[in-house]
Amino acid sequence: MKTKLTVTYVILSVFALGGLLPVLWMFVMSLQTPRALNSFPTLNWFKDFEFNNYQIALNQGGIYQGLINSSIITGGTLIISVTFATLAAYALANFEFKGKALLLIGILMTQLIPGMAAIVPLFDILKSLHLINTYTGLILIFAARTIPLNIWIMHGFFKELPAELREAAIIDGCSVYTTFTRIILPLALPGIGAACMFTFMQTWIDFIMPLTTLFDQNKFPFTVMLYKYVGDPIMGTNYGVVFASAVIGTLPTLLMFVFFQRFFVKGLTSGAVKG
Amino acid sequence: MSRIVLNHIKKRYKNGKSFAVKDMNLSIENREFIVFVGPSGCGKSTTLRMIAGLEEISEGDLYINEKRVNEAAPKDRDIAMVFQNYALYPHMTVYGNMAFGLKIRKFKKDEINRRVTEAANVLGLNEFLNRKPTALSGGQRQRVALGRAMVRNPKVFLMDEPLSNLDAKLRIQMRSEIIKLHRRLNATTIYVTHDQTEAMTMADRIVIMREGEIQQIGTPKEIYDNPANIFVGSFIGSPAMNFIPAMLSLEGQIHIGNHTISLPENKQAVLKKKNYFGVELVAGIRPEDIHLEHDDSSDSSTVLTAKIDVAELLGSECILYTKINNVDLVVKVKSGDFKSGDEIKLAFDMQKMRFFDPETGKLII
Ligand SMILES: Nc1ncnc2c1ncn2[C@@H]1O[C@H](COP(=O)(O)OP(=O)(O)OP(=O)(O)O)[C@@H](O)[C@H]1O
Ligand SMILES: [Mg+2]
Repeated sequence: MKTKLTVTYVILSVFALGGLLPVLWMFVMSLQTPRALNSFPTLNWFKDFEFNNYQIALNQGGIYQGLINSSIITGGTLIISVTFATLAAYALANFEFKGKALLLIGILMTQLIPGMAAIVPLFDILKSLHLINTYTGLILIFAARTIPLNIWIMHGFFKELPAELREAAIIDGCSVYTTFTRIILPLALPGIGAACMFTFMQTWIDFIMPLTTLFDQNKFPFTVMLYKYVGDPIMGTNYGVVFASAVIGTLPTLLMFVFFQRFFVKGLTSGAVKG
Repeated sequence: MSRIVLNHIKKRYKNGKSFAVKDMNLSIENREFIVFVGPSGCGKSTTLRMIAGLEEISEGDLYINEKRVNEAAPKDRDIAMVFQNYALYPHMTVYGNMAFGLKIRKFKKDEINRRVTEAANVLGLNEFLNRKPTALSGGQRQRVALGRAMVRNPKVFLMDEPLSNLDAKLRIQMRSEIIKLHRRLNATTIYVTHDQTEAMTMADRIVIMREGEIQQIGTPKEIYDNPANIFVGSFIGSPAMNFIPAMLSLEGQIHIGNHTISLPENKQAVLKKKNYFGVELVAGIRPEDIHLEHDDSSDSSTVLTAKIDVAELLGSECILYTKINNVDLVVKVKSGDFKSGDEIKLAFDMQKMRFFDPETGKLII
């Protein structure tokens, strides 16, 4: 029994380390001087590390613009995607209508289309809508891309809420709308947290979509901004600065996770019904 | 005034093959405490939910206060409901749970406060008002659910197995609390349970259901003494009524196993008039209407010899599972020294014996 547990932990640790390695690599690299980086592979990693790269990254200014742009795109996507998905999922979970099962499966099927395959058609659509090189266009794409899975996440949460809560609210005098806002929504917060988290991760780190639909340098989100640092014709590539910027760019994800994690804590509905 | 009338109410679920409720006719008087009782799946909850407005009525008319309410929304029916699993709002405090219905109905703050405080007093929930439901015991949660219904001061209370999630002791305690509450509030109450003891102890009138049909409506005593059919006799009472295949001879005697017992004149007359002489019957007798016979000299035409299979001591009383020839007979007697295998002499209280038609199961007399 105990050995079995140990083996489990060893295997999990290996996977965790495997996942952490690139992050560690990024962090270590962000601390190297250009000289140390150029002497690769004989790195003197912990001998003369410095925080200079962060200073340079922050002073360049571009990174602020990148982070702001990323925030606008991600924030817009988050609001649209989670709002629509929540409302749609509530209807799907609680109301009977024709073709519901088919619709649910159809929504799931959209997830089978690989993102890359959709780039050219999406570009075409944006062009005919005159939304190339706009945040709106990009946000619509990201929203369309995340709504299906968000519907499924929220659908699961709504299905888990006991039907009697809704019925109790109806008998207490709630309309469909007040039942939703006063009773269901507060209880669905963990689901909304999960949907926000998922949407944030999908959108914040996306690189290809903004790269293909945005042309304006000052509209670039930080991922594309970072890419532009690589092979800068004047400065060459200062990898230390690129890595430092990358670390800064991942911080919001970390913060999001810490913030939303408490919503993942289950059991908010316990006490509603017996047990 | 809140009289509820069910007029040929039927329910067929969309995906259901047959009717879950078949032709319910019932008139519930103002301030009555009505209990729906019956085995699982007999349509008790379905009927209650139709009265609440949570389930559409397929056919028939529902009247509350002489007004047809088939299409009225639940909130316009002036009802409150207590659910089996409490259905408290987990994100609100006890106070919030009780106040919610009033807030939604736009009551004034101090009126809400007055009503919630009063209900909390009655239910002994004062010290818990600021707690969330998670921090309460099952019994306390059930009280909050009652409180939530009470504060609205509804004309009709609907309760669907409100006590079935509580342990036995608490259930008995809450039983009497609900009755006290009913006396105090004087609202018409419909209470659903599958527990016949709850039905017997709480109801003004019991409605016994089976497979979507009403079997009998009556006071607990009426139903206990004169079950309308074999099903009711076996469902109400614990242990259940004994049912014995019997034959009535032309001499006015019935044959049970090898024994012959003579029947009182009045019973004979009725059976004769209804043409049940010389045919198979089902005799029904309650376990407590069979007595031990100690005196050997007594009239042998009503005394039977039985053999004890199992003796169950329940304190002051004792349940004996006995056999007379091949007929099983359950007897409830005062405690004594009984062992399995013992032979005892039993006498039937013949005036209490009921007769049922073996084909229809209906009560003859
Ligand atoms: N939503 C539904 N869809 C289809 N059939 C249903 C639905 N709800 C109940 N039924 C069926 O209707 C019949 C009556 O159910 P109901 O819930 O009223 O029984 P009940 O008497 O309350 O039983 P219990 O004591 O188990 O609660 C059952 O056969 C049940 O399977
Ligand atoms: Mg039920």
